[in-house]
Amino acid sequence: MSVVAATRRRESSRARRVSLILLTAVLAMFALTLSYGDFQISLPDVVRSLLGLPTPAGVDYIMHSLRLPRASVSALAGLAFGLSGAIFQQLLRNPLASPDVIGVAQGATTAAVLAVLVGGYSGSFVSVIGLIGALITAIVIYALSWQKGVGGYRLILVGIGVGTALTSITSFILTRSDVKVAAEALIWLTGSVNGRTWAQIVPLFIALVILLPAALMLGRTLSGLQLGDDLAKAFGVRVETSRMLLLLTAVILAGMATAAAGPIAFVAFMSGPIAVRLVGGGRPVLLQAGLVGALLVLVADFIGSHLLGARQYPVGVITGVIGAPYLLWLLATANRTGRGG
Amino acid sequence: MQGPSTLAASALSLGYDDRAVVRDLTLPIPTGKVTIIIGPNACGKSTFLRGLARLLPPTSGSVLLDGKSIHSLASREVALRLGILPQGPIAPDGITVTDLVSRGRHVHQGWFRRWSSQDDEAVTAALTATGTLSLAARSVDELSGGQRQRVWIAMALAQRTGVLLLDEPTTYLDVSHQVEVLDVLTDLNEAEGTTVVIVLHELNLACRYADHLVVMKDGAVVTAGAPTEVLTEEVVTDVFGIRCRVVPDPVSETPMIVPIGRHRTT
Repeated sequence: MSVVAATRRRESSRARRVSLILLTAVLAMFALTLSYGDFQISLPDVVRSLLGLPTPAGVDYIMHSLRLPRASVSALAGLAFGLSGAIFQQLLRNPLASPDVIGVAQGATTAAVLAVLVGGYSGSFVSVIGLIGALITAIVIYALSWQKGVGGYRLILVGIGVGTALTSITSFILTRSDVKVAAEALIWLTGSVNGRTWAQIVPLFIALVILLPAALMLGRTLSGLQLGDDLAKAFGVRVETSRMLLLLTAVILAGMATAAAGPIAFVAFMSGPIAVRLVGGGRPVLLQAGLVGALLVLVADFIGSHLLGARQYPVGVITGVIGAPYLLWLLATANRTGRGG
Repeated sequence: MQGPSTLAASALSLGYDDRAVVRDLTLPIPTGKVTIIIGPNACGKSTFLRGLARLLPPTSGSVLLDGKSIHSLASREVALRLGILPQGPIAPDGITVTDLVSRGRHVHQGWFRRWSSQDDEAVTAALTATGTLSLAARSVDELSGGQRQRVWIAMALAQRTGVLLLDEPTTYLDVSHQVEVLDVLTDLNEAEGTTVVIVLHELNLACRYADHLVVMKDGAVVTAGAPTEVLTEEVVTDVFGIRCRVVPDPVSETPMIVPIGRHRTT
């Protein structure tokens, strides 16, 4: 076998191996989330309940009303955030350019908060509003940072500004709203996978069924875009169309995930770089980033609900604690390595 | 690979916003030859090359690829016939030489056409031609400037286009690597009949390696033709604003420019 074929085979088999290991870990954490808790459910009972077979008293209720929605929204939101972040970061060639840093997720949050607390809506309609919020925010950020093309760093700075403004609007709405909904409102500050209903989860699931394959197919053009617009054009990539489609996919994923679980801090931001580390080389890494995202949310939620004593913490608090130091480290080193802009 | 396409600029004007950089330029590129474009900084030679490769839309006029306006052709059609290596490309962190050169095969794949042994062969041939096959498994980050430049050229070669444009492929290279890069491109031209167009700074090497020399100034072509015919002392003085002597290159008999400054003359 030629050295070229051997090198290519080694790289793709490592990527496949990483995907497989991540998928196994996600499934294991999913099962653990279903099984572990104040009320222990054995794995055989978990499987029986999922298959609709008879189970001991109480198992079906806990599974279908509490734990299955929780595990599902964790995995799905994590997957969507991870994919979305990786698309943004690899397309804009900057690790800071993830939807939770540049304001897109905040746009979805503000819109969702308006819908829930001011409009009094719930369920799937909130997803739609969140999605529209994300899209409008993305367009505003794009327009504000447009200056003969969109430069990477300008987009990020504008995005951080817009995100901060949106966060203060969200806080304002929360402080003006009824005290009784304050607990429920916590989800819109940090992100939470607790007490989600199927009406909130199903739209996200449908979005992923459509957009995961779409993202993986668009990944082909991403491998050209990674080398810059000029070379991508030279390779025959339709640069503007491909970039638009990729951004649209990423914005929808971030918007839907935020509408379902709130802005779970830093998942979109961390997943891509972790996946890139694991896979190695310079290939676009999308599926693996999604799986890392799912794993991050499942693990963080498990830590927040079971491992920190009697108190339970929303998942976003845990991911925030992990993500904030990484963001600081990245900001501190970005300019030194010249990748800051 | 199909035979090289014909390429020509027809009354081509290029610019950014209101600033015209190339004005009304008409120039056929000789098919199957090595064309080298020279000129002082900011004369529009890189802009012209980008225009030829449809990286920049013309403000007026057109670029003709096989007689058709390049902007009316599908991206894929152009990419099968014409390749370009822009100036100072940036590789993703951690990418291997094999992966980078493989990206040059992009246009030969499709949604349903997977990587094939033909692609393997094209990449291997490109690495062999540029003397970088031994680096195939290495990471691009680890390479020296000369090695890296050859890898980028390998990527452009892997696309297997009949026309190849290169924007200052020897910048930042020491003299031995400059000669090596130009030798590789000449090999390609002789072996495959590829039409090669290079923007180059180094005048004496340009004269030696060009079949067809294009001299540009202020966005226009001053003169074009065989180096021995077009590169006179008057042209160099006019275009580069420096007095000089032009003598035959002792190695290749092509024109050699000896600049004359204010000091150190006898």
